Amino acid sequence: MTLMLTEAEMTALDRLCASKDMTKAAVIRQALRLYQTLDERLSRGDKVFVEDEAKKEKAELVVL
Amino acid sequence: MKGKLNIRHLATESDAEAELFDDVAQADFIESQSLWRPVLWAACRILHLKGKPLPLYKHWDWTQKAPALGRLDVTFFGLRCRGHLQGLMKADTGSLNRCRLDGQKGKELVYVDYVETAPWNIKDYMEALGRQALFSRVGARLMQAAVTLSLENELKGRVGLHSLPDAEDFYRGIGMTPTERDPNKENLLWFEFTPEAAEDFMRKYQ
Repeated sequence: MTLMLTEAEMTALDRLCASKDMTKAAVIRQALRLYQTLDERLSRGDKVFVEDEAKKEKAELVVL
Repeated sequence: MKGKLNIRHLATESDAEAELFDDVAQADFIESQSLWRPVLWAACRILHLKGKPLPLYKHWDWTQKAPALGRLDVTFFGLRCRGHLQGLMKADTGSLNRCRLDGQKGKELVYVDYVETAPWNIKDYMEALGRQALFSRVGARLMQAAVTLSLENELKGRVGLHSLPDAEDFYRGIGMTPTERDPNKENLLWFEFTPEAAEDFMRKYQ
């Protein structure tokens, strides 16, 4: 398959590759694993939160 | 990840060909419950009578993990030899657990959530039952699969886990580094493979 990305998406992907020392394919596979996990939880009606432990702030993660 | 490898048949002190597989199914979980648990509980009965500690994982039920089959962030490995399941492992590639060792702190890793060897391969339990353990190296082969999974996902061999107390010596023995006890995980000791230690481990157990 061929994946067409916008310039902004490619920039984001390049940054992730650099920070994680991984290839584009590995980062995209990792992202797909995460997306599937989130999607399954949200499809079951679960809510996903991100928490700032220091500030004691919790925000619900919304996935389109 | 599928392939043939050797484990050690203890009675004859010879290699035995085994198959590692990652297409674990509910049938394998059922086999672990139906064949492993009776042996484990028989050993528990004797250990209890002798006043010895019981294995902390005696309540594990792999069939409860079946909903995770097919998830991309979870890989189950099984190891089969002479027709019987000898070990199972659940390895997560999407875990929120991150490396804790200085030098690789915060990096992603493969998290070994569960790993179990059939009770007939554990010396203490078989001695309690008056028998000799059957195979060795099952746990090491499964941990090698975790390292390989890490390498395949470009995680450089980094693997981490929370060890039960009676398995800590095993993880030290294969070269994993203990860091700290985790108050968020029943105070279990966290072990981690660095890329270098993982490479050494793979070479030593070829």
